[in-house]
Amino acid sequence: MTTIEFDATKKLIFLDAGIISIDGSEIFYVPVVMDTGATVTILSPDLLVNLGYDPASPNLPRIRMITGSGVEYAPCLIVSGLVVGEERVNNIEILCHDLPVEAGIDGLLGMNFLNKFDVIVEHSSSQFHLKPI
Amino acid sequence: MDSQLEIKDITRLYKDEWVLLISPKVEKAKIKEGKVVFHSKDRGEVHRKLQSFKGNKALVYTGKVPENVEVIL
Repeated sequence: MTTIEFDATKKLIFLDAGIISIDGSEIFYVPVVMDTGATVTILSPDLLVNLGYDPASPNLPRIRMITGSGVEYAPCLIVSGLVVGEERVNNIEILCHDLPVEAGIDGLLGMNFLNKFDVIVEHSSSQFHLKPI
Repeated sequence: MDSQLEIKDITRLYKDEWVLLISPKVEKAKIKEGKVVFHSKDRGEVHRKLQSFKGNKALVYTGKVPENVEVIL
């Protein structure tokens, strides 16, 4: 089980998630927000290119994405691994999409990662726990 | 920009910027320290620099979401 401390004075739960490169040789930590309102994890295409993925490939499926401001389409690819604390989910689907720069993040940790765990958020102690199912 | 810095020093030195680190040290899903190799207030500029640096790295934003803004992602 991983326990992660967060800043309860902030309005969102920020953390640094590690993306594993396509060949498994590198890890790139990026700021994301834990988002139970996102069915899938979202990362900026630029980050994925740097790790050997090809979000611009015409062979990738483009997924219809319902956001707070409307419907958009984004390519979907499989990342070899996503790491949060001591926990890692392999071969996870990622939507390649840039988030507004004002949010100060480069991705959303969505339900396709979180649903591999019992997730316990304790605002009283500013911690959340990921317990693998 | 050639020594390992703690995140509190990175935040102080590069206020409200996107900072690219190599050799990051991470504990409990939080960046604790790293070596700064590039920084900018423009996230796109930092993204364009990524290909110059191979190996383990981390991207940090040292600013905050404005207090008077509500966020719906």
